[in-house]
Amino acid sequence: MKDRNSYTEILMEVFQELLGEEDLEAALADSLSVLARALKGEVGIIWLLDQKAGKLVPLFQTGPVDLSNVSMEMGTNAESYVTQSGESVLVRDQTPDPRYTGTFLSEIGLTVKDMICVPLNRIDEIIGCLQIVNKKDASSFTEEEHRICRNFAALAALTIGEKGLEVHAGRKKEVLIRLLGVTKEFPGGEGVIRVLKGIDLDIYKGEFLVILGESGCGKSTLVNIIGGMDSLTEGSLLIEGKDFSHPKDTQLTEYRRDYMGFVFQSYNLMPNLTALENVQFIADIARNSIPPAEAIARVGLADRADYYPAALSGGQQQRVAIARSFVKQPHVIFADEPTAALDYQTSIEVLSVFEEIMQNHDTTVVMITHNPEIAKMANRVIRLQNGRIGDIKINLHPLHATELVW
Amino acid sequence: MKRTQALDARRNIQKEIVSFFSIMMIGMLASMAFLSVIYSAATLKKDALSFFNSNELWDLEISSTLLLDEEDLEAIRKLPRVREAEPVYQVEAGLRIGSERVNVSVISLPEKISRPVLLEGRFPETAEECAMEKQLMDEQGFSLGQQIQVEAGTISGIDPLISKNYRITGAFQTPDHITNMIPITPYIFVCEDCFDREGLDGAFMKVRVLLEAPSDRYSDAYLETVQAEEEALKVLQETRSRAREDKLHDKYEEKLNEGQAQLDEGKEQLQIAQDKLDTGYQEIETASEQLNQMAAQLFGAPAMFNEARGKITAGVAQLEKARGLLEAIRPIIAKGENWILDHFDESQWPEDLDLTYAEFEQALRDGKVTMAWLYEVTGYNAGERLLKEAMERLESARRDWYFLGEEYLDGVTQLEDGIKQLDAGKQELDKNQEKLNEAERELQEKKKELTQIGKCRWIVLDNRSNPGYVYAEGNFNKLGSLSMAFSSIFLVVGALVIYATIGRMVEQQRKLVGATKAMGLYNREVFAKYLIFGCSSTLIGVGLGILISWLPLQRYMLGTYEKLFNYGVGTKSFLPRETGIVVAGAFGISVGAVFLGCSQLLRLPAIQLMQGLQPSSGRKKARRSGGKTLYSRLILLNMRTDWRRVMVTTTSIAGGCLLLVIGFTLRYGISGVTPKQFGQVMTYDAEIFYNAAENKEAVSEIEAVLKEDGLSYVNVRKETGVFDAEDTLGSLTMIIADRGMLKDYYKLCSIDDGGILDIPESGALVPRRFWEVYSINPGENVTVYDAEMNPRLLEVAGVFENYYGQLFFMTPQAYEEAFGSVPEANCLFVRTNGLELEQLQQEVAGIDGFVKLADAAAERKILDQFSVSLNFVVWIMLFLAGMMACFIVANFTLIYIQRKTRELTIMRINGFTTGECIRYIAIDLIVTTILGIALGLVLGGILGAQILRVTETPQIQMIREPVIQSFLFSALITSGFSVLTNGFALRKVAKLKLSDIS
Repeated sequence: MKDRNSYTEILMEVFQELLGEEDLEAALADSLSVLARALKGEVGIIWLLDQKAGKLVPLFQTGPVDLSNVSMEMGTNAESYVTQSGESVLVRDQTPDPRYTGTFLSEIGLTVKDMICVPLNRIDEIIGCLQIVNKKDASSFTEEEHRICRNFAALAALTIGEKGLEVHAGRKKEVLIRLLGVTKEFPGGEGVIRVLKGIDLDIYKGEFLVILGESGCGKSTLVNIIGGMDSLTEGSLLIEGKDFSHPKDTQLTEYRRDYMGFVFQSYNLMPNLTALENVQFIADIARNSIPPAEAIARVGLADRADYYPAALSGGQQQRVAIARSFVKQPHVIFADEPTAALDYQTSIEVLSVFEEIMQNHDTTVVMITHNPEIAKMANRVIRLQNGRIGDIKINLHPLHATELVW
Repeated sequence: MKRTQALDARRNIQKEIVSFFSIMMIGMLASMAFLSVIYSAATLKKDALSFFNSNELWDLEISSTLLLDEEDLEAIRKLPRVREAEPVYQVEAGLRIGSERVNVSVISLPEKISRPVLLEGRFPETAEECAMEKQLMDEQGFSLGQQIQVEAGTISGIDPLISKNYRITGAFQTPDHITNMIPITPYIFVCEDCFDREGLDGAFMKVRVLLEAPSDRYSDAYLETVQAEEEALKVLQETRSRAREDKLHDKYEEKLNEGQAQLDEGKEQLQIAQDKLDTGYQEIETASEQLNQMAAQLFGAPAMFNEARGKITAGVAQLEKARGLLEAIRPIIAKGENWILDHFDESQWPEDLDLTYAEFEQALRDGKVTMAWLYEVTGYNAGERLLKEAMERLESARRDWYFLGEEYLDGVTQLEDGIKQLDAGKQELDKNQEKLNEAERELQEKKKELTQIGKCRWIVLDNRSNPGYVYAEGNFNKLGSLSMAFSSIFLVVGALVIYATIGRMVEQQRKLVGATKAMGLYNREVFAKYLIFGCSSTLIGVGLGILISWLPLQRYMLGTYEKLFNYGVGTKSFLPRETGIVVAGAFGISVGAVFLGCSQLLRLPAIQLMQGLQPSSGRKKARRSGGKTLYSRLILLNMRTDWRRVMVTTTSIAGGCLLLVIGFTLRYGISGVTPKQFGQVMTYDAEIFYNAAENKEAVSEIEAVLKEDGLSYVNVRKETGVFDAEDTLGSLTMIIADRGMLKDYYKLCSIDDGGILDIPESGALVPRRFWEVYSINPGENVTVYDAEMNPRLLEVAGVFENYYGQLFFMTPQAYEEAFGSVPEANCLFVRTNGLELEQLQQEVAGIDGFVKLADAAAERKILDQFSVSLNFVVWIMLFLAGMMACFIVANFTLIYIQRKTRELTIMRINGFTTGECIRYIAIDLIVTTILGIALGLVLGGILGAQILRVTETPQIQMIREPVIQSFLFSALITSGFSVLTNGFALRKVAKLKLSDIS
């Protein structure tokens, strides 16, 4: 009875998310998260079928598996089987099922022990499937859970049907940075503290990636490793195809010098240099910089170019920091809580600058933030949890900075 | 302060442990620089005083030009501050050792004052025994029981020593001689009985006095007491001198009068003798005349005899002829008267008859004519009688002549004897006359001397005339001066470092400070945290410095001074007052430095502090870049905007560097004296002393040896003396030589232009230190004393560069002008041209009158030891300065890097290479280091020269010319430390954790 009540509560929560949210994508993403959390599922995926391409696209996901750049040809695996047959699949303790040949997830390296895969069954058609994989407590999925998933899938399919959701497998995105099994350990008081516990992540060219997470979950560590400011303990880091897992300092310096920009919460401007000089300071060493004055103008500080940081407001200083980060025309800008110290209006101004840069320069921005509202600007949102990717959310329709409210 | 605030302060220390350690080290070094030296100086002083006081070193020593007597002694004893007064018999003597003569002072064994410390054997008990100063025994290899013979001089014409041969019964050490570093005349103690007290008429040479004075003989109070007593003695001297003068005058005048009376009596007797002699000579002359007359008679008599004999013979012949005539007449007469009348021709009458013809005719007529008558009247008979008488007289005369001849011969013999006696008497007389003249001359001289020695003058010496006392004081003072000079710089640098470190720390924690202020903490509570940091680090450092100074460092420092003094340096000193001052000073400085470092920041409002460090100016004025990259300009900009840090860093590095420059300047200034003096100034190798009074040919015989060996030499007089300048008696050495003779033996360089000087015709050339210390300029006179301690005025004619010794150069004429006597050469300066001195010694040792051969550079040992001791202190200072420089550079580098860590991280994150980041820091550090070194070199050069002057003594002039090595090594060491510490510190840049920035 107790379980019964809890399942009802879960479904109610899911309904609230799904139906209460005007934004369908947000509703689906959030409700998937609620479901996966309620079922203690390790990975949760909503696959939608691109009818034209005949491919399954993992539009929403939660859990540590990065499927952002994945699309699947219809085949003989479980996901395809469920989508094509409309039958549900419940796997317990890797029980073999002759109806299909494994799962797609196994192909990309995830060990699937338990799995629920139910079709997103609209009345007239099957539009995809919902997949919940492995229980975090190593138990097996129950029939009740299976039923909840089916109900959720039905409700999701119904909602998608009502509100409409276009699915395009699209072109495969160009991977700028790839992390495979990245771990990071620090010596601690009682032995080694593992901050990152195996991160697999691709960062794509031109995307705005937001990393969310609780304090101490490893966000900054992850960005430090990606940004070449810290070294990983295990795993590998590929930047534009080159292995930077254990790079030489000169390699990293060169990489940062020409390909990366950084924006910090505390601005970190050179106090002895004016706004323009701060930008010029970096432009002087970069191979492919734009004129510093142009960079300053682009962040709207042409009239403050000769001011020292002390004479600028926090927002202005952060804009100078942004100008400094993109003056070298980097491939990626890392921004660590760039608006944390700013008020709403200033934050919006700063985020607008980022938006402008991304739009006009096809620059990848990786931003750490605590503010989930900012995540709505992102193409993809990664939530880190306890050193692992908790879930990855794809915004099919990111908002503009000016649309954000908090 | 709340418990959590204290906890925060403690954890702040843990967090900033490097800075804490730096301040601690600087506090330690600064206190060590000061305390180790003053502790050592205090120990030296304390042990010296202990030795002086336990053996009752005299406070005053009184001697007199007319000696002193019991009445003087009693009068001195009655002076109010006099605790004890003791008479001293003393005479300068020579001790013949092999071919050499060593000067010694034979002195009566004191009972109460300046008591010697017996080291071996026992003190003399009989007139045949002596005790010898240990230093002399060791140097000359004497042993107990050995017999010695001394050659003593005279005092007031009296040989004061009855006994000249002694057996050594003991070895001692005297408080009069506490150092072996100064040439002294060693003592030989004998019993009072060895002195001719009767001959000295109860007088003695000196009176030594102990005063009721403070036990610290170097204190002002002591010197004031001594000076007061000297004043009292001056007053006493006036009465006592007159009394002594009168007494001696009366005594000598009485003696002179006695002598005069004896002389007059002698003169009288001599006059009598002279008169007698004159009479004798007159008598001799008379006798001689008589004898001559006699001789004339004697020698004339034979002729007269012959003449008389001739006359007699002629008379006989005439008588015979008359007889013939008469007989011829006889016939005629027989014929009658008529016939005769008729026939006799008157013309044929013999004319030589006494009877004329007429008488004959008458007689004829009267019939008287007979033959008898005729014989009668013709005088024949008379003639015959006369002839007989004449013959008798002749015979008688002949007899008389013989007698006279005998008498004459006797007379001649007597005369000759008389003349001989007279001559002998005359010689005796002459001798006596000569003696008389001599006695008269002596009497006159004595009279003259009496008028001259009529002035009795006391010479009162205090401890400042004791070279050992002064030498020791010089060492305390030098150590004190060094300590003050070094520690004051350490102090300034230490204060700067604390200020900079605390300032940096507060600056670094400004957000935290802002936050704590925002949370409601008072400024004083925030300040307390940094005060605890600054004060605890400083005081812990000072505490360590005190411990290290007190225990090991003082021990090491004293180790070198033990060799300088023979009173046993050892018991370590702890000076509570000075230590307290150091602790209080360190506390004050750290409070001040912390206050200065914090005050500006603490005045800012919390919100401004929390905004972080920002340049104060708002907008930059347009300025031309001058073609430099922003990277280059930023480095300069950093320095310009952070000028306070640059200034403090530069000043601190300058402080470290200047300490090194001072140290090296002292090092070279001190150690350079020996080679300069004995290599460049004194260019002769040996001094051969001789005594012309002993052998007039001594010099020519020595010269012959030197010529044979092909050695060059110059003959001079070398004489020690005493001068009086600024009420201080000092010893000097006079070199008397003809102009132009010394140029190859002693370089007399002008202090003005370095040109070579010649000895002036009048006056004396004096060394620079004399001129500087006593401010006696050329043209002015200095009082010098002759051998009898009579003051003479000697004109200073010029000043020359000299590095050791109070040497006065003058010509014999100048000497004569000043001293009134012609100087006799007594020394040959010899250039040996590589000939071993031992060989030369063997060659001249046998020459009579040879006194000794001395190595011209013998005093090098003294200078070397002096240098070693001072150098050791300087080395310690150098070590401390080096450590200081190292910590300063390390501290400031770390401070700077810490301060710039954020900027550097930003730079690194933005793609600046490690090299570029290191350069970014290093250029700043290099510039500040170079500026600091440059400033340090300049200031060090100036201060070093000043401090070097402090270490000089009236006897020793340091090498004042800047020594390039001092600057070079200081710059190198500072740069070296800079490179090392920067290299070490800059590794932090290479190992920056970029991830810390986020």
